[in-house]
Amino acid sequence: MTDFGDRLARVLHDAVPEPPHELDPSAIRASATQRGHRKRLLAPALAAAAVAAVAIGVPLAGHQLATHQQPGPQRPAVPSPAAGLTASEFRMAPPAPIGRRA
Amino acid sequence: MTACEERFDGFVRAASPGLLRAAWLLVGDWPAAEDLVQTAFEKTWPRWGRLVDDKQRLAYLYRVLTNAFLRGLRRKWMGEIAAGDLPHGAGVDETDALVLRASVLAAARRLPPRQRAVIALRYLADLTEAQTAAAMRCSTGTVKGYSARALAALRADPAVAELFAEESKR
Repeated sequence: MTDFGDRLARVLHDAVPEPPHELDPSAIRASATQRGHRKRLLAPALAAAAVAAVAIGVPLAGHQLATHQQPGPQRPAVPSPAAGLTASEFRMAPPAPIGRRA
Repeated sequence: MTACEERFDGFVRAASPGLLRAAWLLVGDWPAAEDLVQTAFEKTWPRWGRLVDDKQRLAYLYRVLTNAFLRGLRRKWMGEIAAGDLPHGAGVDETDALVLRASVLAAARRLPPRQRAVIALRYLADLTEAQTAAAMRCSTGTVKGYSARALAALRADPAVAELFAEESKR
C-alpha cells in the first residue's frame, strides 16, 4: 500500500462508525430457509412456463413464416438447346433478342 | 439448535460488524447496509457446509455482498448521497480530525461504484488485492486500476488533499 493508501485506511477505520444494531443470526437462517422454499416452488413453475412458451412459440413462428413467405424472384429463363445442336454449337449460337424468350 | 447452526450464528456475530461497516461505506446508510449484509448471509447459509473454513466463508460473503451492491445499482440508484459542503482548510485544532474523516467519507461517496467498492474492500475491510479481485470477480490488474483511479480522485479532492497535507505537517 502507498503512503497515501495507509493514511486513507487509517482515516477510514476511524471515520466509519460502528454499526448501531447486531444482526440476528436466527432471523437470517429463517429467511434463508424461506428463500430456499420459494426457489424450490418457483423453479419448476418457471421451467414449465418456459417449456410451454417454446412449445407454443416455435410452431406459431413456423406457421407465420410459412404464411407470409413471399415467392422468391424467378430464375432467368434458360433457353433450352435447340434440337439438333451439339453443346458447343449451342454455346456459339448468337443470343436470343431481348424481350423474346425461347 | 444443531452444531452447524451454532457455528453459523457465532460466525454472523463475529463477521457482521466488519461487513456492516464496509456495506455502510458502499451504500451510505445503516438500513441499506443491514439489508445488503443480511442478503449476503442468507445466500451463504445454504452453502455453509460446502465452505470449509472461515476464510472461505468470509471471501464468499464479500463476493455476495459486492455483487449484490453492484447488481442493486443496476436496478435502482443507491450510490451517491448528497453531502453538504464541509468546512475545510481549518487551522490546527481539535475539529481537524473530524473534518478530515467527514471529508474523506464524502469524497469516497462521490467515487463511481466499482472504485468505491475497491476502497471499501481494500482500505476498510483490509482485503488483499487478490481477495478484492475475487470479491469483485475481476482480475488483480483491474483492482489495481480501480484503486489507482480512486486514490487519484481522492488525492485530487481539494478538501481531502488539504487536510492530509495539514495532518502530515503535524
